[in-house]
Amino acid sequence: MYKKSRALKVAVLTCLEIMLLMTGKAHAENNKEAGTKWLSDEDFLGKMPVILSASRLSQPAAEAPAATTVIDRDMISASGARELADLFRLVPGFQVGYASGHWQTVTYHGLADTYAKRLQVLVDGRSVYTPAFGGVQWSDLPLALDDIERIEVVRGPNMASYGANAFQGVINIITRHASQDAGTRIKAIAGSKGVAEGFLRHGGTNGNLDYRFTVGHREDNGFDNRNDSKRVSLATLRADYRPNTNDTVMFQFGLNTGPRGMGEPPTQANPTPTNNEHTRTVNSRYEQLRWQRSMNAGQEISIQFFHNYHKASESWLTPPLKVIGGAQLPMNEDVTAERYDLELQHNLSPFENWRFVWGASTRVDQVTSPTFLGMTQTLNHRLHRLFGSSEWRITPAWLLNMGAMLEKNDITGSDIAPRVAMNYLINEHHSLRASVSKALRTPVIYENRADYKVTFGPLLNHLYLGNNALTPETIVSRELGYIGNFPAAHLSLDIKIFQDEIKGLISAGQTSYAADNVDGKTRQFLNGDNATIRGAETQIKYAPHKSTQVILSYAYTDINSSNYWIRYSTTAPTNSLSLLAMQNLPGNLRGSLGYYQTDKVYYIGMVTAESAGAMKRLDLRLARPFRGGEIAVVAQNVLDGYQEYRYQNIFDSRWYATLTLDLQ
Amino acid sequence: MSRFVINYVFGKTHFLLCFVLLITSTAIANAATTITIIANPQDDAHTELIEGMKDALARYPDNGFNLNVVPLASLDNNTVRDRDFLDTSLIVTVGTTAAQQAGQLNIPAATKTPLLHALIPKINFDNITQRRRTEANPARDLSAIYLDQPLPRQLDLLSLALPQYKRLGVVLGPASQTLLPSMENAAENEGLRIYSRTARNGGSLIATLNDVLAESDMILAIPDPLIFNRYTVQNLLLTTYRQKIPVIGFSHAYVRAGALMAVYSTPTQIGQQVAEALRLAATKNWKLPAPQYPRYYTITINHQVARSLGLHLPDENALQLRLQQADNPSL
Repeated sequence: MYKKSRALKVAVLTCLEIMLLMTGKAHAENNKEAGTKWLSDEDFLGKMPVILSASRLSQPAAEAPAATTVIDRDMISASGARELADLFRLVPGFQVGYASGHWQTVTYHGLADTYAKRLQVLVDGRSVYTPAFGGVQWSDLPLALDDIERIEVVRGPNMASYGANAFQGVINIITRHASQDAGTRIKAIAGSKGVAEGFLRHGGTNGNLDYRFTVGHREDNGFDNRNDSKRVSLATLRADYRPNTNDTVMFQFGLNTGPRGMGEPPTQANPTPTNNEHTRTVNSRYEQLRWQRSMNAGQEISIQFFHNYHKASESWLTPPLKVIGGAQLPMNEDVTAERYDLELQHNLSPFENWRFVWGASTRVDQVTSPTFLGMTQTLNHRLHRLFGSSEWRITPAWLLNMGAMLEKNDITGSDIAPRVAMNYLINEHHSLRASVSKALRTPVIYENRADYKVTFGPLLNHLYLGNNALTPETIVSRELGYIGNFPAAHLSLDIKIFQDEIKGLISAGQTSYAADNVDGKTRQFLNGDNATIRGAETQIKYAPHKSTQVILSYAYTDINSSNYWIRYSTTAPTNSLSLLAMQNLPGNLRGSLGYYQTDKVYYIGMVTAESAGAMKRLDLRLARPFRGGEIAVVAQNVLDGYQEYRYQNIFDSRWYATLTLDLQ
Repeated sequence: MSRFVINYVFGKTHFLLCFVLLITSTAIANAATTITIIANPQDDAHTELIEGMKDALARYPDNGFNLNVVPLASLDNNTVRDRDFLDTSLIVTVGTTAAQQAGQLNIPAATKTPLLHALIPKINFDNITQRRRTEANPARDLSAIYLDQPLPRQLDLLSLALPQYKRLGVVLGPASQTLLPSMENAAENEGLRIYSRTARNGGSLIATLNDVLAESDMILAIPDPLIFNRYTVQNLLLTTYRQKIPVIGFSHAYVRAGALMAVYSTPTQIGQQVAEALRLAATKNWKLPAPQYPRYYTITINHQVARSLGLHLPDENALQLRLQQADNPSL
């Protein structure tokens, strides 16, 4: 505890020091420029850096090789979300489940347990899914919601552009450029369920350097009657440096630490749970460095290095257990996971109608967990990949997108994942798309090397065993899309129908194991079931004016699975719907409403009786901006309580208020 | 190629040599009319302009002009001599600094010679003429070929390229707010509505821009030392792009940085106009034509940005042709 708070203190103090140094200089800089009535010839004739570079420009939806959904700043604030994961309820086909108050799982088209393993999640190009178990620990990300510029969600596999794990889809979170947040922002949130948050952000410019840092603290009590509170201390720093007009260097650092409540209370059915209530302490941080050279809006080269570190410390004593003569069993689920990644990327546009991006990367994932892996040593998993993706505008109406990734990893060897998409732009307002793509999911370290034994002298229970003969899961996704704009009606429409064939889904099957003293069984990972997912999705945006916007998403999903090892066919809701409406009101008020409705869904590992029911949820937000800030009130789920992920997690009505002050 | 030669000749190590050569050449070609150009040979734009002048003059068979280049640095360090301006019929200054310093030049041979300022933003020329009225020699003939484009031309381009957009947002600063009435007039002729706000200081730029963006389909960048310069352009382009609103810039660099398009004049194009102006002045006993906007210009579109914004624009050549017709209906 002491060590952790000291680390945070050092980080905060360093940030403050940097701030003081920089603001002093920035003021001097500003004074020098002020008060002139002369223009500089250089403003017309001088050079300027490429700001909207190839990697910053997003592809228009009509020309993208897959269905995409963009969540922008307006949507983020209008949604009233306090947790990043909640934003994905706005994306058609996505489902969000709270396994506990601080443990969210975000998945596309089901197939998920507490670790949703089949999405690539990037924050500024940094892959954040955990190498140990797969999936993203959303509450542990060193990221403040206010620092996000936009989120691009690719609904469909796209390894050629986004790398490993882009199996069912990609979440691409883009934070704000440091220059966009000059000044100081103080934000405070308070509400029911013990919600208390405070943030301080400061951004500034010093010559060619733009910087921003955010420090914050977040806490809440989680669900009623569950030990799932969280306390998060976070600090992030982003610096964008421009040594000359062509080059930029970005550096980021982030830290997220604090305790989280874990475990189950004793119940009548199970008065002595071995997973009894205890605390998990998280220490998560990253460093990222990227150099980028932009020759023009079509040509760019970048080299990026990042390091993620995530340590979860979790040890506790069980209640007295009969099997060991009434003794308390010491448990430990410490996991340390690290990722080192180096990537080169080159965008080029040799001809007006042809754009190309290629690159290569090398990565080492490291996991240490004496309990989960049954060894004190660190396991390394290396991954190298080579990727290329091209967009060829054959005629103004026909666009061919092709890409492929070649991957070599320690676990399953070499694989290739190709993708091809054809877009037909009927006219300025209507377009069609057809695409076929293949992707792979390499087993995570736990699936490969698990060896979870509970011992008390002799071996008590052998819970999990990995399997080094696993092959990657494969998906072949076929999709047809239509994108239409109806300017007269202020409508835009996106429809996708798809069929995904997934083979070799990895699950913890069961095999007998003689040495086990409890049940004589251990669960070993294997390539078990196949699944075919078919469905249709749409998103409709109605924006008659900037003061009124309505965004509707709907998805129909049907999973057809062999259901032999796992009942995959019920892991996605058949129908899911979300609606976000924003309206400016008289008196300078901004009103917004989020409505979410999904059918019943079962997460993997939950027995039928435990599962989450159908949900209906209505969130309301009312905000009033004023000179230098904003005040807002959010009510989440003003309807009846519903079950999140499992029946114990009742999401009943709650509210919070936000005060934001922007000091120049 | 020509640019390479100029750079080579004006390179620092050859500075002295070039100086001597120029003076000797002036002496040899004594029969011709001498035009003295004050420019910074280290500045690529200046050498481009001079090269443009030379090329334009060379196209006439009766080219009787002798171009004598006086480096700006010699005005700075007072090494400039009376003989540098001997027999000079016209002084051409290149850039704002040269224009400022030429007016204050205390050399008998230069004080009465007409001054033609090239490569100078209009607002800077206005500042200079205001100042010069109070100076010793108000009768001196003074004119300019501006660096910036006339507003009607920019608005014509907007109407041609983005006919579907009618709401034009403009952020002004303390220096540019005086442009507003003429801007509103010009916009009315084009059937555009202008929504403008004035930012008082650099800190309020983004807040002001956001106010304007809420009411605009597109943003016209107006050169103002406070609003649109190399330091604020990054923030401005990111903010507007986030809202998918195109920015119309005023330079090639602006388009490269991420503006949708721009109409601007290259130094070569201005050089051609300078050449034409001095030929005209030569026939009128060195009476200079009135200050004028660039006659020749270039349109550049950032196609990647256009594409990302989902905009379908005519190509640059088609736009240029139509803009020339709009500029000059007799064509």
